[in-house]
Order: sequence, then C-alpha cells, then structure tokens
Amino acid sequence: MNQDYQDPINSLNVPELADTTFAVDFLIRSKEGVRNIATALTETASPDVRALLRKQLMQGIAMHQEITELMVEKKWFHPYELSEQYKLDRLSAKNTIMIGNMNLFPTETNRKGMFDRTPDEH
Amino acid sequence: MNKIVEKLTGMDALTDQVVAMDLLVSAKSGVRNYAMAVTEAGTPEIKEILTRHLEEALELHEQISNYMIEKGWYHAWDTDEQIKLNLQNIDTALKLPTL
Amino acid sequence: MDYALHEVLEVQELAAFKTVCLTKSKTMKGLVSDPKLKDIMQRDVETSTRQLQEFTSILSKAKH
Repeated sequence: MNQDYQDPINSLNVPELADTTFAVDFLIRSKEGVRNIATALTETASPDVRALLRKQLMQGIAMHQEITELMVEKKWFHPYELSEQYKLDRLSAKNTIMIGNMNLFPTETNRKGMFDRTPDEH
Repeated sequence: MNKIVEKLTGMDALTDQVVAMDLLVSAKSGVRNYAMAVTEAGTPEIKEILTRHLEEALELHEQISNYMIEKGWYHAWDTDEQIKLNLQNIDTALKLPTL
Repeated sequence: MDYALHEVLEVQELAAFKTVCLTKSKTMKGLVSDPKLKDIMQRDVETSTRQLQEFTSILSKAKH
C-alpha cells in the first residue's frame, strides 16, 4: 500500500471492507444485547419490567437471526465450513495489521501551541 | 420423609427454603446458559429449540422467584431484609454438623 | 441436516447442565413438604425431560 492516502487506488474494496466490518460489529453487539437482556431478566421481579424485557429479548434474538443469515448469505461468515472461516479470519487479521502499520500522522501533530498548559495550572 | 429419619440423616437441614433457593439459582444459570447458546446457534432448527427452552427457563425462573417472594424467602425490594435473611442462612449453614 | 461443530458443542454443554438439573429436581422433589413448591418442581421435571429428549435427538443426528 502506498503512503499517499489521497490516491483513489487506496479506496478500492473499501466499501465492502467497511460493510463486513460493520456487519461483524453488529453481530457481536446483537449477541451481547441478547445476553445482557437475559441476565437482566433473571434479576427482575416486577411483572411489567419482566414483560417488557421479554419482548425485547425475543426481538433481540430475531435481530441476531437476521444479521446471522445476512452474513452467511453474503459469505462474510461461514459457521459450517471452518476452513473457509479460517481464511476469512486470516484476511481480516492481515488487514488489521496493515492498518496498524500505516503512518497515519506523518507530520508533527503536537498541539502545544494551542493548549500550552494543563487545565488545572492557572 | 419421616421426621426421625430426617433428623438421623441430617436431611432436616435441607428445608424447602434451601431447595427453593437451589432451584432459583439453577433457573438463573439456566437462563444465562441458554442466552449464550442461542446467540451461538445458526441452524434454524437448533435456534428454535433453544429459544423455546429459553422461554421455558424464564418461566421457571418467574414461577420460583414469585413463589419465594410470596413465602418471604426472597426480598427483591428490601435489601436490608434480604441481608438479614442471608446472614441467618449463612449462620445456619456454618453451624451445620459435617456428616 | 448437518449442524455446525460449535452448535453441537453448545448443545452438549446445555445437555450436561440440564441433566444435573433434572436429577436434582427429581430427587429433591421427594424431600420438600410444601405442595406448591412440589408442583413447580414437578412441572420442571416434565419440562426438563422433554428438553433433554430434544437434545438427545439433536445429538444423535449430529453423530456420524
């Protein structure tokens, strides 16, 4: 990858890359949501709170199902073929390392000229 | 069970309250275990079964917690009262002879 | 129907948990005196039995 971030060549595949990243993030969040609601439900005693959380739990499970199906359909997620998933994981690890190696702030970013003292120094 | 046999075997410590508490704790971990599993399932058949089981686990938790609140063994809204009860229970468990 | 490996493992975990629950509910039911608690436990035994049978059918289908 060249270091010229204005170069349009660098935006190749980025929309797809962004979509997969957001999808994975959404999947993890929906999972977490279901688990959190279930845990909250076991700490609930009032009937109305229980009814509300229960409704939201079922909605959360449905949403998790939807996002899982979408990701399988788009081939972003391979729960049945572990070797395929492994390839995908390698690829995303590679991309992450590439981002880590980017020199995103090549010039001096010191803002001392604007904020020359810490707030508690008068 | 016969009261004398209960006393002899030490089973009299296993009161309804202890059994109910055990059931409540199991129901709670059941709900959590199922919630974990549901979000790991992808096959619709498994997911449907697990979702149904999760609902049943929630029902059991509701039944047993309502029962315990009714009995005064579980003070969901009164922390002080619950602490008092817990301390009593801890004391009972600690004073229990080892069989 | 082929299941994903991690699903089968998850079901096994739940089956082990439910087995302990069912065993406890079945045995401890005999030790309680309150009829209402007995009733809740009886219903739990019935539900758990059905759930374990469902797990058995999944696990035997997953076995090759």
